[in-house]
Amino acid sequence: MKTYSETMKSVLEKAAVITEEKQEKAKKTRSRLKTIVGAALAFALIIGAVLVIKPFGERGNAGQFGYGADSEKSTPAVEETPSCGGDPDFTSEPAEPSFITETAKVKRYDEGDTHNAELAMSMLTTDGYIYLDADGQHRNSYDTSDPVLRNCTPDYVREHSTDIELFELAPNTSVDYNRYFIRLGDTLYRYDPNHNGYYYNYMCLWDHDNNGVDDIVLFSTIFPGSCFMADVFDVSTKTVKQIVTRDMIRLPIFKFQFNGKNIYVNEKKLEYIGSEFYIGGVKADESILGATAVKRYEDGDKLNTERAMSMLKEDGYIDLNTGEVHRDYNNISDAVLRNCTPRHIRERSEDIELFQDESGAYFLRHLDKLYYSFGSSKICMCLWDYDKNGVDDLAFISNCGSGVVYLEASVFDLSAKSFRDIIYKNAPKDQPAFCFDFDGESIYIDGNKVEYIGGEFYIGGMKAKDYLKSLFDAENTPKPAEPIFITKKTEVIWNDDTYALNIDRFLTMLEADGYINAADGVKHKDYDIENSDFCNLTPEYFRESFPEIEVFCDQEHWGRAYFLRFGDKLYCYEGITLNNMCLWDYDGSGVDDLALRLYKYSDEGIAYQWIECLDAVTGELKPIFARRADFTSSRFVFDYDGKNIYVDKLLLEYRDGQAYIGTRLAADHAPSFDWAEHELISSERISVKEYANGSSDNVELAYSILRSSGFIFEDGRRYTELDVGGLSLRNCTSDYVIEKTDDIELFYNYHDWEAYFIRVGNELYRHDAGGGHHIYMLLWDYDKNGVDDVLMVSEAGSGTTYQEAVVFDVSTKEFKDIIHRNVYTDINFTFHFDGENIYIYLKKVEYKGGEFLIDGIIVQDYNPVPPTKEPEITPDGPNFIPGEEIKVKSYNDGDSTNAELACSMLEEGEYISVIDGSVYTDYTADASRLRNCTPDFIREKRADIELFQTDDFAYFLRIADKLYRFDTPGGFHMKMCLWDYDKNGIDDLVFYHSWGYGNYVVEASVLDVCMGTRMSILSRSAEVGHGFNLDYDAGRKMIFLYRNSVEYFDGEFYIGGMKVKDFCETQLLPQDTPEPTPSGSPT
Amino acid sequence: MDKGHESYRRFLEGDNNALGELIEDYRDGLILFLLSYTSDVSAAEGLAEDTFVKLAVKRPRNSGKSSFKTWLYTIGRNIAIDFLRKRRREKLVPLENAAELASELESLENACIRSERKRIVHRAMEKLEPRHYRVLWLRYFDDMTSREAAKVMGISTHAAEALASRARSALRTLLEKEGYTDENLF
Repeated sequence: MKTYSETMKSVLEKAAVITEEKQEKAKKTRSRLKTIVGAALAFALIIGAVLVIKPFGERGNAGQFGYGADSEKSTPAVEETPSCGGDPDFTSEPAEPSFITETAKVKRYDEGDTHNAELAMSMLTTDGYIYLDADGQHRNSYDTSDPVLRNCTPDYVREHSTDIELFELAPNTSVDYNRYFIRLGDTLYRYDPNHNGYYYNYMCLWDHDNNGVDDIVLFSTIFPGSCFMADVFDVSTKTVKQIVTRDMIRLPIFKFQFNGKNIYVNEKKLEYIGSEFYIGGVKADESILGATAVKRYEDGDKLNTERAMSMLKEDGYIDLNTGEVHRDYNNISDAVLRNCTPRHIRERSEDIELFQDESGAYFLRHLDKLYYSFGSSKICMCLWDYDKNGVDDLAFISNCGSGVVYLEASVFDLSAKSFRDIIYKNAPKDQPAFCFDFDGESIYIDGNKVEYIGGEFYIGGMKAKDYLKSLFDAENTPKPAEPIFITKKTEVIWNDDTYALNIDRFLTMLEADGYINAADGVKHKDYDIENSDFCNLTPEYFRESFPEIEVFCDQEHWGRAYFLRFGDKLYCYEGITLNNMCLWDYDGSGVDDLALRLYKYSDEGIAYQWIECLDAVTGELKPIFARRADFTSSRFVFDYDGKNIYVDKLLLEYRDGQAYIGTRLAADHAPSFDWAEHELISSERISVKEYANGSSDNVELAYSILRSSGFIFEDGRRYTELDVGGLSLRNCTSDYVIEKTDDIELFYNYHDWEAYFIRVGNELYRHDAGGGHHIYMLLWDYDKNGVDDVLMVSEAGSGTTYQEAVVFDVSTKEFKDIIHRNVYTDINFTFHFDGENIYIYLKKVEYKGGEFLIDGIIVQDYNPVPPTKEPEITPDGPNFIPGEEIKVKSYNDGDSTNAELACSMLEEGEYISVIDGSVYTDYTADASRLRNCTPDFIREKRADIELFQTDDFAYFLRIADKLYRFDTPGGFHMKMCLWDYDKNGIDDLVFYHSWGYGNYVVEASVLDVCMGTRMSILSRSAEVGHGFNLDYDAGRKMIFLYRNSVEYFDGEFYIGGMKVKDFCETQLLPQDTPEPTPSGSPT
Repeated sequence: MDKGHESYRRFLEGDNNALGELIEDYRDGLILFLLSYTSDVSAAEGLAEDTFVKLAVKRPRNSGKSSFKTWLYTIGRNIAIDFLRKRRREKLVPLENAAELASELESLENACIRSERKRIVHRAMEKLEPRHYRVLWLRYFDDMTSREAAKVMGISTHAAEALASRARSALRTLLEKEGYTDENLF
């Protein structure tokens, strides 16, 4: 046995060795990766040049290497849209990325901050900086006496690296304006060769050479005097690579976009292949657009300048401004012309050349004549037969002006020898005035084709002047002041890392001072601390700004107990689920009160979503308003902007002791409803009363009917043998029905049976909710026969819950189903009633030809979110198998198959949590507590895969001889199927499950069988009707969400070429987009 | 903040002596706990050392929610599980080393367990199922609460209590078989 000091020595030695090894390994890995990637790229390029290139989309990132000899024909990978719906080829790269360009924006000097500025300053004054100039690198000392640095690093870079920062030198210190220093670890670099005065617009991290190390990209998209610059600072080699050639530096017209991974220039993907940069699949310096760049004077050459000089001397030039011929060119003997003709013109015509002299004057040669123009700096020039007369004319992009810089697109008619303006516009802020593009035949402004029709230029179908006006209007129309929600910051935080904050202080308060029970306002000092497990859930909003307010939760407490610390007072809430907390002066007293969004459960287990306020003045807990939350579509969306609360995105106001949205009571407000056309009956009036709120009215009548003639069940049979003495009925009829008629009532026996009886005259009809509850009861003459029928809306079933609307025909005494939806898997419906008509999904329901219809479609088949492309159910298209086949069995429906095996694996071995990847042992289980819940489909196909559930709600998944644990706290697994998501030849497992407390989340995730790790495909809150279904094509082993096929590429899941999340945000109904988070998270 | 947390905080701030304090305070107990995974005092010592190496290299963040010992033992347990995954449990000890290891264990016990009565119990515990040994060690030798022991072992508090109860019963039977009938022994 070692002594302590020997152990200490050994620990330190081992630590030193490990640290050294790690550093060495990282170095080797980088170098190895670079070699491998370089070789692979070189190989791919050779193959690409020699072989016929495979069509794009054949496999994964094939497009990356798909640029072949014929670059004109090759299509960049980004433009490939993966097939969706019925098309089985899902392997091509997804299309439109979601951009986060704004986060890559370099801060202006005055927007920068002083974060690490002192560090940079000390580095500058002690070690100086490494100057990356055209000749390489050299170290300079910095001797300016008082530089003022600002940290201008974009948010994106700040979030992703603490080692990389961009500093700008104060623009007012002598000549050192717009000078940038890049801090890379403990070294400062400067890079601004020959471009004094430009400034960066964007900076992002991009592993351009795929060597595993993010490099730094710097973009300058506009500069007065025209400049497009883009460089990569290779972090590994500490060298700068220019993305664009000097030709392209002339272009002021580029749009920069960044999606966190890739860069797009004018919406074309930027790639680095071999040792070249490609934009949209074409070498950056060979693009047709780059070829139109007019050379700068210093980049021009002497080609044909002698000839031009002699023309100037002998024939003079034609001034295009006056049309006169001049032979008085100044200093002709000393003039030094440069040929600045762009490559595009040089390659296509010998008749046209553009010369510039040292003063900046341009001379355009066409055939044997020289034309002079002034006043603008030519940036682009290309051949364009604008008037379709068979003769190429010249399109120009020029800029002019100092201070406010204008960009001009014009055409020089070579037949008429005159300029025609297309568009002339100044640059808004630091953006390009407009984007120009040229495809060799047509020109484009902001991506819109420019056409010349009937003597006028049209841009994207609009007259140029109208187009300009629309741009002006768009830029100058003040945007409506929309609230900026900070809802996320008000959510309670379930996070292991923050649970322990201030727990000691809280416990001291709890023990010493006790707490006020919010339910009765009485102070208690008897909390059972020993058997509690407290955690701090305080939302970010309070942690940042109001540390005097905190919330703690006792997780061991049945139904949970929340302790709210409000200064030096503790309030305790029991039997609730707390979701949001914020400050809100609900009563306009001038003092902020504490608003809570929470769930409460009634004695019957019915959930209500509440907003309550803890009054800061009186200490009283004030209910603001509530809506039933069991019927998911009646829940509301909560938001907060730092001052006001919004319900369903609308301002919530509290006046006269009640909460309003606009002029309506918040409790009754229906989101997204066209109030101008309909006046709804309040949901309170049509609500079935809870048992506890029911009355004893006519209960004796109901008993006597039961005793004398029994009840008629839904199947039409009459039951008379009933122990009426065992019933405990309450009259739960809705107020609306009570007001309308005495002949129809609803009775509920909550205790024991959970039976509902509808009384119509002297008969009782039994219509239960299968373990659930009836929500609404109203009268609706659905068949317009002059007799009001009874409509019931229910949330029915236990375990899997269904929303239903059923009408009881008072004339025929039959029940008719209107709609039936699984709350977890289907898109939940909304229900409204205006006294005459009912509305489902906010659409009027009509009864025609024996069917209930919405827009002519049977209500049950009506899909409020049509798939982007309806899959064709054909032999070639998807063939969904019934959900029952992939349904995970409930605990009760499970069996004991292999339970012994799973149990012995549990007892003897270890299991892996798919949530955190950790390995655990010691779960105590016996076989009698395990049920095999594997869906039938998996049972038939795979003997090595089984799913077990324990009686304490843990799920264990057996894959051959390994056990994985995949719990769904508060929820359960609903479906399970096989999908080789990453196309590695091995089927992985897709789980479709729900979880969460209070706010249920429905999620689809894939368990990688090789890696033992889980990836979420889509997770949505079912709280406000965001549930989704998962379909499965067993033949193709493909999964479908919203009836659209899902595919995987490079760490992301896509639907129809869009990331799944983006698909949900852009393709679904507007009211379907808000995403509250669950109040519990899987552990 | 307990002493372990304080020492670890100082270590994170660059005080290597604080690491020495941690080793002095927690090493022996950790070895005896890890013994239940290895059945080999030398391997347990190695694992304990690896636990401290992990602290020194990775410098993991401690949320402070549990006691330092609970947290340290949880790291040790994870390292032990990794160790077992690599090399399935070997109970056999080469004969030539057996005497040496037994003597090492004895000296460790003497250093760590002051009471003779507890040493007797500990020797008996070594014959129990590993998880029984583990829970008893944590609860009655390392003075952890059920909640702390449960956290270290990665099981629920309820399960830890049930396990401890079964372990006590198994230990009593074992001690009785060996002739110890003194109820105060345990």
